[in-house]
Amino acid sequence: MEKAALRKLTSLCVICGVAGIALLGIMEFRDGKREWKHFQIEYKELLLKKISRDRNPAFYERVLGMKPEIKQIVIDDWGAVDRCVSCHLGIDDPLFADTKQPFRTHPRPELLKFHPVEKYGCTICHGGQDLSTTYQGAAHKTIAHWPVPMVEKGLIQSRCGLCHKDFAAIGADKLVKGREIYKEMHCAGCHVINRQGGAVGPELSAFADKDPGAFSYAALEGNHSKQNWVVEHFKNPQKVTSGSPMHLPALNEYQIECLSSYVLSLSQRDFPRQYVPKLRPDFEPPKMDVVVPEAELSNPDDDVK
Amino acid sequence: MDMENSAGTMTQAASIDETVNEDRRNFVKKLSLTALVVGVGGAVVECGRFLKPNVLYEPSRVFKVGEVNQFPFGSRTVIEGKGVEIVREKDGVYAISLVCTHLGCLLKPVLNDQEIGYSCPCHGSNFSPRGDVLGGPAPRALPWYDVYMDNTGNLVVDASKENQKRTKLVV
Amino acid sequence: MSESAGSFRESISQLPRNIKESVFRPEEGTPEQERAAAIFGNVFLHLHSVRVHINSLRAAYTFGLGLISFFLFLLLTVSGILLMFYYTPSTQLAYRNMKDLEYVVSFGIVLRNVHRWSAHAMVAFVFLHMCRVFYTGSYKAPREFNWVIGVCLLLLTLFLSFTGYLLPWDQLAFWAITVGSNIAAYMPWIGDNVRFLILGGNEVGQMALLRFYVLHVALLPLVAAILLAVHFWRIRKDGGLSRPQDQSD
Repeated sequence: MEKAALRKLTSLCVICGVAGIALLGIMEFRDGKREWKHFQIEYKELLLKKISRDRNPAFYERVLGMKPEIKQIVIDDWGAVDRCVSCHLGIDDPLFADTKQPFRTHPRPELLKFHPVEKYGCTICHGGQDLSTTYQGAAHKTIAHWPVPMVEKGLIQSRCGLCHKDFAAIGADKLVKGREIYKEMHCAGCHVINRQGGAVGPELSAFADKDPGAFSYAALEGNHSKQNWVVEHFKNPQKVTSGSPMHLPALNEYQIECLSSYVLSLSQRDFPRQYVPKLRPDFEPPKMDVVVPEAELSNPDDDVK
Repeated sequence: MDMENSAGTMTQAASIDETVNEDRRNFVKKLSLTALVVGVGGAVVECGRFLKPNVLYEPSRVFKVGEVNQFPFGSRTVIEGKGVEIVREKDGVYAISLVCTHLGCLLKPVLNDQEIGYSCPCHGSNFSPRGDVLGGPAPRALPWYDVYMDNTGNLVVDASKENQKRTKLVV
Repeated sequence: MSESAGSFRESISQLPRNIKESVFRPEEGTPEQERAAAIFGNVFLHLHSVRVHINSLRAAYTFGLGLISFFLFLLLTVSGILLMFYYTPSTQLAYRNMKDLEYVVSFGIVLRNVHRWSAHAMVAFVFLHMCRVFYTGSYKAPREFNWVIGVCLLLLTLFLSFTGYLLPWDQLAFWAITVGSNIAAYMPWIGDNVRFLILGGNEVGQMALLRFYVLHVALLPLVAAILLAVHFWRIRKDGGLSRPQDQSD
């Protein structure tokens, strides 16, 4: 009888041990598979085809010896750890201008020249989850629990406004237009920006810095993100915030993009001196408020691009 | 307190079916031992891989220093913050470490001397322009680091790889 | 000369045996005694008794719940120590470290999940163990003191769980500890002081995170280990795991 009990225990021990080892093996196998490894291997193949061994043998040898590893850019000034470059490997390499994503070169290399990736990273302009190393985790699309998804293409100029206050000087046409629309719609009647305006609606001076969690997304049609909230809010304020006294005439797509970009650019964040752009000495922040008779407010059909 | 001697019952059984039990027992022993070694060894290896960092929160050892034409012939340019000097000569360019091989102080490049290229303010080691030890407590010559030109025309230094052959990059 | 050379060669050939006997001290005696000495002569093994009654091994009696709880404790210790290599108890860095464990560290996800699941499982299993001990009357004389130690261990398990919960510094952690510390504040007379002491301040912030970290990785595991030693020692002193009468009695 004792033998039976011992045998049961022994076989239980052996079974659990074997199961444990099998699980360890599975764990090891699965952990080795990472998305970025495949991308880096593909990038290496593409790069080897594009460069010639004879012209630059030292570089060719280096590329041959490339092993998959996580690449990151750490920017302590705003606490970002951008791992986008683990997959977006050709972002500042003109050789990859016609390659498929994620290897394609940045479509505006002149912008990258002013904001080199090593100094600025990527997320300060594009949003997303910097710490992630997967497509999904990086918030290319809006995901749960990460409040800052990637900035949509149409609203990308809003991020220029985080640091640059002279919109015309940098050629941010949407921001210039957005500010014009703000003035013409007389938004300053109810909203304050930089101490100008009325106090009926919320202050917008630091709208870009507001916590996305403080907005109500229940009535939104699209993704639950602050960007979408702003765009849909301009389409129909009462739908997004029920009971809102805000009224504005119908605006076309382009006007909404401009106005949204402008509002999403309003920030009072402080950046260290090396990141603050120099303003021309005679730059004066424009006035927000202009009184225009209702009849002369611009027609939505103007400004079609 | 009743204490059974399970060994007593075992030896009785063994004497009956001795040959068969011995083979089976040995096999199970070997199997268990192998499984133990694989399991424990595997776990130790996995822990080792876990503990090895995959990213470093340090400035990269591979860094761009600028375009080649920023380093004219005959120039010696210190790269601030990286402890490296770029020397461009007629037959090529190389990157030499400015970290004294004695105990790690930062060297001062000596510009107008024929003999001395670098001098250490800590314990007085002197190095030739090519990094060989001229005097002082330094045990070995200054290492040269791998340089290469990437495909956008920038000169890149890889301070993690030593250029042991001391060959200059021809640009 | 040849005599000393011979004895030198002898010493060398004896070396493996000498080393082995120096590490694993040989005991002389009957085969029975030698097998027993292998257990109680070993510092790691001797906390457990040399022999146990066969009924103690019957799975259907104890379900091995105490053993499982102890195993989970060991698992938590090992996985916890490994996780400590990548975690900083700073409000700026803690969440980032958790993300690093998820995305960057090899097996980071596995170890974090093992730690979390084992923690939940340990709370469940110590509770079931307590139920088993109660329903089999194993708290009765002479085992009353061991029951008290067991209750202390239960409280330690719960506090370990509570302190560990704050460490990821995410919304779940922050609000759980806010609620928990406010519950503590409801204690009559001393509640507010207790809350102030636990949090190291008036709010759940950097000081609270640091305190909870020290409690979670150092103080509470140390106290738990000491009480576990007492708990196991008491089992032996009180006559082994309480069990049904032997069938042949």
